[in-house]
Amino acid sequence: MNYYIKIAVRNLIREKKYSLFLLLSVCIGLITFILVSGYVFYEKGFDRVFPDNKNIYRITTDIYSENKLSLSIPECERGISTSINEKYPNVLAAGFITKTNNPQYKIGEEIFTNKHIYHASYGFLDVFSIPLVRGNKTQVLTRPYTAIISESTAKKYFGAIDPVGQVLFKYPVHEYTIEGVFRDIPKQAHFSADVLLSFHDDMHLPPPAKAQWGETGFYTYLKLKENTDLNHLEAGINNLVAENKKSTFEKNNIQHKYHLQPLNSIHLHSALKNELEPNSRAGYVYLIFMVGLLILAASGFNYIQFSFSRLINSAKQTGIKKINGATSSEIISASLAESLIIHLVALIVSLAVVRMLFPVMRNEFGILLEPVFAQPLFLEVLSGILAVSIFVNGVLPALLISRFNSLELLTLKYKPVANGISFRQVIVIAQFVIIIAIVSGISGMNKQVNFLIDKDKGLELTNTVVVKVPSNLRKTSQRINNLQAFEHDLTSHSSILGISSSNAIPGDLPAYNFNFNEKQSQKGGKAALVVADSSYITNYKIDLIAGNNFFTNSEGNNQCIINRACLAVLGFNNPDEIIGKVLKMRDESGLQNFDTQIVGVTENTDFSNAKEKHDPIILIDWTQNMIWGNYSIKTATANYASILPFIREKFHATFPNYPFEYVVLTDYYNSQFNAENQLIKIFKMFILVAVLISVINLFSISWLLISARVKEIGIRKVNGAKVSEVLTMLNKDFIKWVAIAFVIATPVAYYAMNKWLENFAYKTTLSWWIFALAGLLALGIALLTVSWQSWRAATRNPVEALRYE
Amino acid sequence: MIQTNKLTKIFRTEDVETYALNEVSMEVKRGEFVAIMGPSGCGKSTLLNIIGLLDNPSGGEYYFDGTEVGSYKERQRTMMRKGNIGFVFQSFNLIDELTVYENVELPLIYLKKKASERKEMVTAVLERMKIGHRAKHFPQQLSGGQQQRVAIGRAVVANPKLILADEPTGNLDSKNGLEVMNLLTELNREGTTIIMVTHSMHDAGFAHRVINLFDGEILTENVNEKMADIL
Repeated sequence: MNYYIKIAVRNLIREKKYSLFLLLSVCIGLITFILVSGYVFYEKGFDRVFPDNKNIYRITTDIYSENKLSLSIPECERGISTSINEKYPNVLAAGFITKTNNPQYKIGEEIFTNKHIYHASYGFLDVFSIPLVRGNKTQVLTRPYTAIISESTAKKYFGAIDPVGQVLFKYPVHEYTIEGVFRDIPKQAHFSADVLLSFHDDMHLPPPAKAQWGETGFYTYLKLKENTDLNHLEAGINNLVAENKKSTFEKNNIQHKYHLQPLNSIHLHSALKNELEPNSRAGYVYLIFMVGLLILAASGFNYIQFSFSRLINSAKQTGIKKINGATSSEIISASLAESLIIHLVALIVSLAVVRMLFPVMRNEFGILLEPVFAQPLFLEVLSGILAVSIFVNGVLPALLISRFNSLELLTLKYKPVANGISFRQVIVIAQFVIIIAIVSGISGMNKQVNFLIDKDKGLELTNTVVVKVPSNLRKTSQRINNLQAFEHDLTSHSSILGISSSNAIPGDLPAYNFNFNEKQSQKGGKAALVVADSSYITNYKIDLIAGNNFFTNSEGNNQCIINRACLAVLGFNNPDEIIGKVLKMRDESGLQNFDTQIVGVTENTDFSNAKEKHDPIILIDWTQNMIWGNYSIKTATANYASILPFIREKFHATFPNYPFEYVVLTDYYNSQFNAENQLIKIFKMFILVAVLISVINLFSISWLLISARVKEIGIRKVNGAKVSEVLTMLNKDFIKWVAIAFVIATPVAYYAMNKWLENFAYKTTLSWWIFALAGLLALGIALLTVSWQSWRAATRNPVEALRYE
Repeated sequence: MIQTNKLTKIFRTEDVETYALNEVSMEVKRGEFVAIMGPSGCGKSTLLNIIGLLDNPSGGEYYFDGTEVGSYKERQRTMMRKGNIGFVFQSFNLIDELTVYENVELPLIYLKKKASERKEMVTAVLERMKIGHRAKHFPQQLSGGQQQRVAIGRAVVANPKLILADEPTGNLDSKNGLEVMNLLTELNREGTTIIMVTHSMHDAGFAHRVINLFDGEILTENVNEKMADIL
């Protein structure tokens, strides 16, 4: 064996080009495989980190207004989690978390905003088996104004000090005593939580939130016994709520239908309004998986190609060995030794590269690759692929070649297929199909995302920073004075064009939890309330199509401005007709009813996002007596750096002891395209790999084809062919292959793009140039790769070429 | 040692059948040095390849050491060839990737000789071929004459009974050619049977007997008086 390895190493070093290409192909294949499976396993493994994850369910609520589904949310009423296990012993644990109304906190002197802080019931820890590293398991989260924090939060804010007994200050006024430390929630979970606050009836909370059968704002999870009858339990939950909320449902003519959503399906299959974190789309994961497989196949083709080129290259050597007494098995052993070495090196190189990519994948794509290496299935498939690969490369060609007569081997040469299509051509065409399809896919996706970013949204997002101010704060006379000074100071700055206050900003998802009174709405439905002041419409340049902006200095409470979508729901066509009408609104808990007069109608805006159809939004001006959380500041330039220090200074003067925080509105708004941009980013990597694969392949194929034609080229030149004519002759075939690939790829890509665009309410058009560009790129790659070698062959002295034969 | 009876070899292409050998019957005794001559395309090399068990005849019988081997399968032919037959080619056919030493060692590897034994045998042969100082060089670093000496070394290293040489001096100048012929003659004197295909009357002069082939048939057989005497 020693001998075989020695000779194998030497052969590999001698045949540098071949070894390198083969190594590259195996590496590309392996790296692609590891990264894609890492990605897929990561995405598919979400929430499987929790013990008993198969038996955990989340309760979702479908809300029907007048028998029509108007909203699906991943939350439900608090009462379900507190009373379900009494009635159903199959429910082993039940718990909830719910969002806090103001995500600003202070620990010691450090002020911070954290959206991953929730109120939670004790049962929540139980459902997910979240272990406590400090604190008493039976007591935490049971008393008012207590909290538990994650290990990393403890480390960050307390270092070596014991956090138990310390205080977390929640703006504006509440102090929470830390009672325990829980182990960090794994990253591979559909929610993340740094701090969990208790939720107790004795705490100061808004009445609709506190009511057992009030707001549907509680993300509720159940841990069930194995083989629980889910239909039975779902019916039970529906009955339970129906009994307790009967009057509310009847009064508002609404119905709730509850479903048990398996925990393991949340991350990939759930896209409800108000998800705790943006989930991934199963479709995107499968798409990436499929394209990854294609790339793997393309790389595999190369590799088969090189394996068989090796067969031809080593034919003479094999022939001599056979003449000198080598048997088939000895020839196979020699080939196997080479293959083993190549694969071993490739495996080491690939693992090293993947290791280097760990931080890139984590930071750029938010994917942890580490877990995949603990997956037995992955390791099995990887070993399987390696074994097959070693066999295909090491044994198959040797088996084939050992069937040749030793004399034939001495003179064996590659002969291109004269007529018809060879395996090689099919591979080249297939690789170009992949390239053209991915490139046109990316261009199309880019075009769609840009279309959504640039499209007229009915409101202006540019040159706007939003400063976070405390929300839900009642205005005292002192505060009113401060605010007036703040607004006055800001607007007097030359670079600030205007400011407006609101509870939600574009990109936010307002709660669609207000019902129209049944008498007014013919179609039924829900609307979102957005609290905004009178400068909101002018500041955001929203078109008013009827009526007026809020009457300045009016009490505001009983006046509102609706959008066109709302107009349609109310059954009006002419916006002017609805002005002056009174809207009777109820919130879904039934606790808050109010009447409001419509004073204006605006054009529809892409308020929450640019992807979906417009929903009814009602603007209410309640800003006279409350502070609502956001100041949108319209600036003259996008150079915020010059203005922000000024704003910060004024903010601190107005809100001493509050953290200064702001978002650039376009960044905030465009984060809704993260999933698409990530897909584009991944596909760009795929393109690089695909191009690399096809360049390697083309390079070797053109080298083979052209060296097989050296004599022909010589004869043609002797008989008067010009260099340009020879070049044309040599390049013609490759152009033909790209053309065939183009014809195959375009309809496939067109179909796929149209499918993808169905995800969006507003679509770009698929221009012809998307495909032309992809085709040209493929052609360019082909010509550049091939021409170098054609040029060398075409300019060669014909005498030399003929002598060479 | 070698006896053929009406040996025939037909090459078929789509439309044409070519008789490379047409009922060739011949005999070579142990210790003989036989030259096969004839114009290009007369079937010399085909005959040599069949005798060397590199190829099968289409018809007729071939006895190697009294065994009928004409119908042998590839695997059986390989086993028969191992250690029994050494080859010398016009184009040397050395493996570029192996050193002089390793090229000569090749047949011993497949005979599964121990490393120490191999070393002894290869060193002895290299000394004998006056190429010992080049053991670690690769074929491309040698002159044509040296390369052919390596090839002869490889052919004899396993002490075969028979050496087949296909125009061994074809790619060499006269001085190196003479050296190769002297080596072959010397091996023959020590008892190795040699069959050599050649174009050169001069080279054929070293043989005991010359077989003239023409269009796949034996035209004449001449005993070389001068050499036969020595025998």
